[in-house]
Amino acid sequence: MSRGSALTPGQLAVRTLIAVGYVAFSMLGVAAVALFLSTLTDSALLASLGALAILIASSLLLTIDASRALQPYLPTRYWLSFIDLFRNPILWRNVVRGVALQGVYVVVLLGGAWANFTTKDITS
Amino acid sequence: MTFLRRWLVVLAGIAVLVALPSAVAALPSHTPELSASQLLTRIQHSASTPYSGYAESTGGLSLPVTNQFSSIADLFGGQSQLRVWWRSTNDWRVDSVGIAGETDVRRSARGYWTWNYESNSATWAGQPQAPSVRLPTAVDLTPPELGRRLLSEALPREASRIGSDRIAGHSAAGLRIRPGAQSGAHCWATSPWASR
Repeated sequence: MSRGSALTPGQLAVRTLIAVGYVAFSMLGVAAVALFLSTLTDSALLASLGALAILIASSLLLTIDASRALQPYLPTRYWLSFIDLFRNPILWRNVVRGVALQGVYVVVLLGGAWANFTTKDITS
Repeated sequence: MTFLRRWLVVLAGIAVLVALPSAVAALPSHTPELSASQLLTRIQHSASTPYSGYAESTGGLSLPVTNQFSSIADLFGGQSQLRVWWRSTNDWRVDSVGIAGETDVRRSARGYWTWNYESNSATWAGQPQAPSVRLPTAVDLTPPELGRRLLSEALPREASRIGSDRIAGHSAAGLRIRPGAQSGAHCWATSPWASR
């Protein structure tokens, strides 16, 4: 059977490590949503459910053609781009965009949480 | 009061972030001073200019075909992501990138290698010459190839210059083609932009 160019074990290890880092970093956006929501409500359950709702909505919108204009800004848009790390040569484009997008979500939502959370929070 | 001030800081930050893409797009573009016919000649003879890059194409034509011509239907009706490494018309590699796989075509002087990741197969078509009539493939969708095809029959007298623009972050020179400009019978025009 014919095969494409094979990755060496060393390449594979490095790329897997980068992929793990990328996937972990990709979750920060959703974590930031949860953190921001937790400054709006006293209920931990509400904050985590809200983050989950945004996660599911984002994944659903990605499958719909009509939301194409919205798709570049969805937090899960570049989640699957870790696959691009295993192409030869690596296709960095979407990985870089994924990191930048998560960075924007983290900065904006952490900023919102910081702005919203000005006093001590001892209510329960 | 702290609350309001902090929110103003955050909103200002968001405004900067939102404005950033349009600010980058509005950067002035610089292209060399070329006459319309010079630019046209450059485009028509650009096949041996090496480049590499990434291109996306979105097709809006839904073809009523089934399995037999599914690659054509995908090309015309779906989104294609292409990676291109180009040396000349018979020395290039074009990858059609899918979500979890890719189909690569490598053209060399001795023929075509096609590598399909999903089916884990490579096929060799040893045609030194491309057939004169064939179905479109991914390589036909690369912007330089489309531009050359569009302008292959254009004459210098049909070309005029329009302003340069910023396309995908690159400065690109504008060209307008009015086929049959002298008769005035044709009313459509095409305006490709060319970039180094």
